[in-house]
Amino acid sequence: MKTFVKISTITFVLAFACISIQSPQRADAQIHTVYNTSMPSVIRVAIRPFNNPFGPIEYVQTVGFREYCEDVLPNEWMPSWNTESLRAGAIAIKMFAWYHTLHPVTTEGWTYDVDNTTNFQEYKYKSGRPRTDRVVRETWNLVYAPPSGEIRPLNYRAGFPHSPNWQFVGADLMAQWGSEYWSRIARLTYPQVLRLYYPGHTLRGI
Amino acid sequence: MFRKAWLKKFWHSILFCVAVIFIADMNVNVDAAANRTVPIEFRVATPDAKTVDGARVIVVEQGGKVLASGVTDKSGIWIASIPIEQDLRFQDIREMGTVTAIAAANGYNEQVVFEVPVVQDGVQPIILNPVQPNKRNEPTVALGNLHRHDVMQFINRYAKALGLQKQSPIPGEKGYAPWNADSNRQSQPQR
Repeated sequence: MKTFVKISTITFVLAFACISIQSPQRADAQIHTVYNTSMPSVIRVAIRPFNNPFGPIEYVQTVGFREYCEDVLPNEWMPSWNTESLRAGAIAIKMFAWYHTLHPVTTEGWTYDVDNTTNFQEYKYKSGRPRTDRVVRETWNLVYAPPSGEIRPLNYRAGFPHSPNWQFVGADLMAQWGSEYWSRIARLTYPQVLRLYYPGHTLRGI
Repeated sequence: MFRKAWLKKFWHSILFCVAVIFIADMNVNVDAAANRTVPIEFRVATPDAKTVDGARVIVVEQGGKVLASGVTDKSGIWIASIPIEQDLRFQDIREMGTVTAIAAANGYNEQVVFEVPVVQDGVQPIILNPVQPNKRNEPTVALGNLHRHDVMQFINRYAKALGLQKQSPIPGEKGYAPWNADSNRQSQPQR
């Protein structure tokens, strides 16, 4: 009996110790959410020549986070596209970049958050247009995240021109041409376009 | 009598020729007027995100003539008015011309930017590298700010024209795949 009590006590103590040891690890693995994480003020962009995803890194440019988003939107979405499509794009671009500022990478001896190519998002310094800059500003205080508030990279692809891009609907992957189609032809608003591609997310202000 | 008739015919022919030349000339003028002029904003900066004021930008058209030239302001910007001479390679894609830009500024190496798109509200960034002592300091070459979607449609146009086939879909890419090398048509060199 005594031995049983001893073993039980030791097991209990060991189990408690394990839980205690694990606790700080859990804290480290805490999810970045829109509630506990503030939007970055800058982002580190690795510059590859000619925006070539396979080119060597020439340098890392640190730019203002909003300036970065303004210099991505007209290169990822066509500046002449419907405003609702551009708004959906602006939010996806920001969430994608925000996620990557929280998950930097080190390659080829450089540490950076994103590069200037379709490895991440196509960025061209000083390429913002008044129209696309305005869209980025208008949507700046809006985030699109699941109910937990987790900051997730809202990924996207070019999709197929002049088509609804059904294969992307509900796939957690926005089709750029699809966003244009749905906003121009079906006259969907940008929250509706986002909902179409990223189900289970909510638009909220910060 | 015969001479009079001949003279009449002669004058009629002259009048006809003059009319043809006049109408042809009018058509040329109409075509020239049809080339819409759009503002293209050249933004000159350095790799470390500093704008370059006083940079000279020269815009050269496809035929080799200088279309416009100007100097950037304090924000490193120069706006040129350029007529859209449709680039036939992009004919079915959108209204777009292409030109070449040369940029030069004191303290920097020159840069040539080929295939600068001439489109409505076009923006062309130019990155100038500072002169570095004991280096070769030769000009650099860049490619114009062609949009990804235009490039993809450009490839689609010519791949379809040659009857190329798409490669097998890439897993996770929702049906997207690059074009294959095989053509189901006899390729004809175009002149």
